[in-house]
Amino acid sequence: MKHNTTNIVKYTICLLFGLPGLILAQNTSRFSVTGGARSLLSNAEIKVADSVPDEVTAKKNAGGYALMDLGFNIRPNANTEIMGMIRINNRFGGFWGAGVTFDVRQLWLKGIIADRVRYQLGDINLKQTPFTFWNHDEDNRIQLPAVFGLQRDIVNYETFYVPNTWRQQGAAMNFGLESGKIKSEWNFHSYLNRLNATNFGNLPERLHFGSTANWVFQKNLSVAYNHSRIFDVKETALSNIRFENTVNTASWEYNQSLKGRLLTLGGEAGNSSYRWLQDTSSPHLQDFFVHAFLRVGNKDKRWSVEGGYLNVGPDFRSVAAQSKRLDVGAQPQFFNRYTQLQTDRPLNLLDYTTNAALFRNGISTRLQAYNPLLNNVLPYGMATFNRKGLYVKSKWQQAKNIVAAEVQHHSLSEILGQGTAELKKFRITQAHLNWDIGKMLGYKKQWKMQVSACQQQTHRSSERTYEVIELNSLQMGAGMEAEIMSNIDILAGYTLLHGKGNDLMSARDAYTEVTDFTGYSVNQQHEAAAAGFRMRFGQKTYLSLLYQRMNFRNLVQPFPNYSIGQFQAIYNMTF
Amino acid sequence: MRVTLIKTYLLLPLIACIGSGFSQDTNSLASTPGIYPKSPAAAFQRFQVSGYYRFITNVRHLQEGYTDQMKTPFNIFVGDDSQIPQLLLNLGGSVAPNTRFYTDFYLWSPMMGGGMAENVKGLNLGVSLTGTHDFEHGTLQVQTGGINWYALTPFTFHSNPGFNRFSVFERNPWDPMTRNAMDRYQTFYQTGAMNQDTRWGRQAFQGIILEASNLPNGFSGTMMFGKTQLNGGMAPLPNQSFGGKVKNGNDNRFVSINTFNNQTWSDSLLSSRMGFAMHTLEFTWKKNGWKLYGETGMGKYYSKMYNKGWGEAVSLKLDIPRKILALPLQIHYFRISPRVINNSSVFWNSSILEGNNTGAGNESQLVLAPFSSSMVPVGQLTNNRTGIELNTETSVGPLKINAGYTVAKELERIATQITYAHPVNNLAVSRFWRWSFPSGVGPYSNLTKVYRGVFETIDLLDVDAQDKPLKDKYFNTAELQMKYKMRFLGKELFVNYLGTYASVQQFPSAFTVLTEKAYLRTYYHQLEAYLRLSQNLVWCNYAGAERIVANYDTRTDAISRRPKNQEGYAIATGFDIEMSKGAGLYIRQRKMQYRDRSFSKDRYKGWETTVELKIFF
Repeated sequence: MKHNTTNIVKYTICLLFGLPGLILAQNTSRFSVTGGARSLLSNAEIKVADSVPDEVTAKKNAGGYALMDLGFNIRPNANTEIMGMIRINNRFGGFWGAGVTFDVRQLWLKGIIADRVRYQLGDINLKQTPFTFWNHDEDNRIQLPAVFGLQRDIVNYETFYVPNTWRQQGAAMNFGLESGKIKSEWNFHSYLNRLNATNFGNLPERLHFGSTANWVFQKNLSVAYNHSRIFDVKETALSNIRFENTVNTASWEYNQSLKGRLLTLGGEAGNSSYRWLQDTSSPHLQDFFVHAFLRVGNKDKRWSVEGGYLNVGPDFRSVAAQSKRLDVGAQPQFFNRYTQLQTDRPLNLLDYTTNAALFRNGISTRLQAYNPLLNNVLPYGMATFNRKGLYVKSKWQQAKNIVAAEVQHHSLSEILGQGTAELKKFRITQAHLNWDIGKMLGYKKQWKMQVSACQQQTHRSSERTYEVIELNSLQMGAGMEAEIMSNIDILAGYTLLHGKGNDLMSARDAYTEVTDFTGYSVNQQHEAAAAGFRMRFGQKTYLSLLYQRMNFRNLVQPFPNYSIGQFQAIYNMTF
Repeated sequence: MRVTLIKTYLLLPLIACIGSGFSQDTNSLASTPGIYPKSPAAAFQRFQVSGYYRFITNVRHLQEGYTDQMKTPFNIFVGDDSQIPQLLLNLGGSVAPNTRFYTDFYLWSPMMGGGMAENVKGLNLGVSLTGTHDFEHGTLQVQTGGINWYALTPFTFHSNPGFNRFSVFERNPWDPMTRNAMDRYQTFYQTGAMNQDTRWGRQAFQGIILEASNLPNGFSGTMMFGKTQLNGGMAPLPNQSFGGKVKNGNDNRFVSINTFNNQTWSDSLLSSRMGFAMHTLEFTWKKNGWKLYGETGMGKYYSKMYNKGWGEAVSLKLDIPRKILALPLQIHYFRISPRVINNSSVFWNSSILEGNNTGAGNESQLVLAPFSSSMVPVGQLTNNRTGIELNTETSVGPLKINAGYTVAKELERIATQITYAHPVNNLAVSRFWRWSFPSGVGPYSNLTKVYRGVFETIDLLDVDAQDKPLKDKYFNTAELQMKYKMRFLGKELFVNYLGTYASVQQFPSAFTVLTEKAYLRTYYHQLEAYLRLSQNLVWCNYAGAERIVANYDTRTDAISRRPKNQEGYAIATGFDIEMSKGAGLYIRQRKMQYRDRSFSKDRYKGWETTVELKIFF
C-alpha cells in the first residue's frame, strides 16, 4: 500500500512538473486535465420501533467528504492517449491534512495502430451482448424520480456503470473492414481481461477473453458471432482445478421499411459450457438460449411495438452476463446495526438506490444472491436461466415531446421445475410516464413529472401445499422537478416497494447447482420520500439540498421496523 | 470484391442502433459492443497550478537553559515547527465559468536521514468547491468542502485582526513575497499591515456556506453548516456548527442579525451534549466622518457540568474624526459575560476550562489561546471582562505614531491564575518544544506552548478556602508604536519601535500601575531597523527587552521566597535577499538571554540562526 501511495505521489509530481506552463491552457494537443469534484454532507437519524429500549446504538450519524478527481490526459502523438486519474478524498471534519486519502481512480492507454486498429490498455469499460458480457440493471425496474436520480448518478460514477458496461482491467481492440461495392462492413472487437491474479496457492490466474465479429450488409442486415470465455490459466497455481465458462452466440438484426414503418427482426441464440476442470465433483453444465423479437415502429422513432420470445436453458451459465450489480448481503453505510441486540439492519430501498458501497465493480464466477422483491422474474437480467416465455414492449412519444410513455410485460415460466415437476410462472409489468408540463403550458422553465411502476408476480400451484408459491411485489415511483427560478429547481419524489407472499429460494453450491431450498416468506414495505432544491451551475454541476425519509416495515420477520431521516447537501461537478 | 480498411472511429456508429427506450437494454444489437465511453471526457475549462517552495532550517545553541533543553544544548532542525510544508502546490480548476474547485498538495522532507521513508505528503487545506449563481434579483455564492476561510461577525465567526502592533522581524510561514525585498517594510510603514493572505481575520471552516448578496432592498445573508477546527472531528457523530446572518444596508449604514452555534457530543451514544450558542446584532452608522458601530448579543455555554444560561456580549465602537480632536480616536466599550463562549470568535475564553477542549481528545491541550485571566494586547478581547479601549494614530513628518490603551475589569472572580506572554523571544522559546503543543512545561511547569508562541501562568495567593479569588482583577494595557522612515548614508531606512506597558491589580486604576501594588507588571520594548543596502538586499536588525515583575500576592519561589522578577533580552540581525523574481532568502541571527531573578531555574541564554528560502510560483 505504501509503495502504491509512493508511486501515486511520484506520478503526480512527475506529471505536475512536466507541465510546460503553470497555467495550463486546456484543449491543447498534448496535455489536458479532466475529472471533477464533489462534496457531500450528510446528517441522518434513525428511529426504531422496538419494545426493548435501545441503549447501545447511536441514533444519529453525520458524515461527508470533499473529493477531487484529477485526470491527466496526455497525448504524446495524434494517435495515442494516456489517462492517469488521481482521487484526493478529504473526510468531513479532517482539518490540516487529517482524513485525507489518495487513490488512483483510473489509468489507461488507448490509441490507434496504423490508423486502423483501435486499442485500449488498462482500465476499460466493456460490454458485448446481454448473454455474453453485460452489466444488467435488473434491480432497478422503475424510473427513479430525479430527486433520487442525483444520488444514483453518483453511484454510477463511482462504479463506472457506463450503461451496461463493466469496468475491467485488460486490453481491448477493434477494427473494421468495408466493402464499397456491395456496401457491407466487417467489424471486429476483442478483449482480454484479467479477473484475478494467482495467489500462487489455490487460486490460478483467471482471464476473460471475448470477441465479436459483426457483418453489416447495406445497413439493413447485421449478423454477429460472439464469443466469451472465462478461464483459469493452467499451471499458474498449485491447484490443478481450473474454471472455464464458454459462451458462443449468434446475434442478428434485420431492418426493413414497409409503408412508412420500420420493421426490425432481431435476436440472439447460443450455448454455454460451465465447468471446473480437474475437479471430479464438478458437473459440466451445458445449455442453450434463444431470444428473438419483432419490432414495428415509425421511422422517427416516436412509437414502436415489440414482441419477443425468450428461452434460456436451466443450465445456461454466462457469468459475465449473470453477475449482479447489487450486493444484497453488503452492509449499509451507516446504522449497520440497530436495536439493543445489535441486529444487522436490513437494507432498505434508499440503501439500494443511493449507497455506492452496495454495488459491485466486477464479475463473479458464482451466482450471486438477489432480493426477490426487487426482481424475482429476471434476477440476472435477460441472461436469467431457466426462463421461457413471451414479452411485449411498447413506447410512445407525443409529437411535441410533451408526453412519453413506455410499457412492457413479460410472461415467463420455468423450463425445469425446481424440486418438483410443477413450474413457476412469472409475470412482470412495467410502465413509465414522463410528462413535460412546462412545455405543455408554454413555460420557458422546466416543469416535469414522472410516474413509474413495476408489478411482479411469481406463482406456482400444486396439490402439495408446501410447493405452492405466491409472491407479489410492487415498485412504484413518482417525482416532479419544477424550475422555480432560473436554474433552480424544486425536486420531490416518492418510491415504494411492497412485497408479500412466499417462495422457495434455491440454495446452490459452488458449482451453481441446487442443493436445497429454503422457505422465503415476506410481507415488507419500503417507502422513501425526498424533497429538496437543486441549483444548476452547468450541465453537470449542481448543488442540491435534500431531505429524505425512509420507512421500513416488516410484518413477518423478526426485524423491528425503523425509519431513517437524512439531510444531504451535495455539490457535484463531474463530466 | 474490393475490401478496404476504414478508420475505426468512423465505424463504431455504423452499427444500427435502434434501441428501445427502456432502461433495460435487452436487445443484443441495440448497443454497440466494445469500449466505452465512445466520446472523450471534456477537459476543464481552466486548470491552474501555483504554490511555493519553502525551506527553513533553524540552529540553536544554549549556554544556559531549562533542564530538558540543556540535555542537548545544540539543536538543528529542518522544517517549520508548525509543520508548514516545504513544497505546497495549489491546484484549481473549473468545469463551468461560474464554478471552481481547488485543493492543495504538499510535500515535506524533514531531512533527518531517512530518505523516502520519512517524507510526508498530504493536503493542507483539503478540497474546496465554489460556485456563483446570478439571479434576476441577486447573487448566490456557494462554498463547500474545506477548509474555507470565512468571517461572519466578530462575536460569531471571526478571528481578531488586531491593530497590527507587532514585530515584523521574524517571518511567518504564510508571509507573501513582495515585489522587492524592501516592500514588506514599506507596506508595514505605510498601511500598518502586511500583505496577508486570505485567512487574515478569518476562521477555518469545513462544510457548506451559502452567501446571498445584492438582494432587493439592500438585503444580503449567509448560512453556514459544518465544522470548525476546534469543534468537530471525523467521528460519525453530529458534532457540528451552524450559523448565519441576515444583513440590511450598505457599508455606511447596516444592521445584521447573526448567529453561530455549536453542538458536540462527548460520547459515542450521544447522551452527553455540550456546545455554545451565540446570537448577535451588528450595526454600522457613519455620518460626517463619525462612525458608530458594534455588535451586541447573547451567548451561552452548556454541558452536563455547566449550564448557567445566557450571558451578554457587547462591543460598541465610536470613531471620532480627526477634525474634532486633532487626532482620530476610536473608543471601544466591551463587556462579555463569563457565560458566553465562542471559540470561533474574536474573544478568548477565560472562564470555562472545558470549553477550550479541542475535540482532539486531549483536554489539557490549548492550541490557540491561553486560559485564565490573560494579560492581552490592546484589541484582544476575552470573556468575563468589561472595559474601554482607546486607539489613535497620527503622523509627525515621517514619524508615524499609533497608540492604544485598555482599561478592563473581570466581571466575576473565577480564575486564580494570570497568564502573560514573553514577546521578545516568543518564537524562539516556542521552538524549545517541537511537534506538539504541551502545557505545564518549563522548569516550574508553568509554560504552555501555543501556535508559534508560549505563555506563562502565575498563581495568585489571595484566594479563599474554596480556592476562589478574594478580589476582583483589573487590567491596564498601553501600547505605543512608532514607525520612522529616513535615509541613512543615502539608503532607505525604516525604524520601528513597539512598547507595551501593562499591569493587572486588585483595584481600579486609570493608568498602568507601575508599583508593587499590581499583581503583575509587564514591560516590553522592541526596536527594529531595516536598511536597504541595495535593490535586492535589506539589512534587518532587532533589539528587544522585557521586564516582568510580580508582587507578593502571587506565588513566590520556595528558595528565594520572592515573587517573579523576570528580564529578557534579544539582539538580532539578518538579511532579506531577493535572489530572483519570486525567490527570497532570509537569514536571521538572534542572541537571546532571559532570567528570573527570583526563580533560579527559569533562565536561558544562547543564540539561534534561521535560514529561510522561499520561492513562489
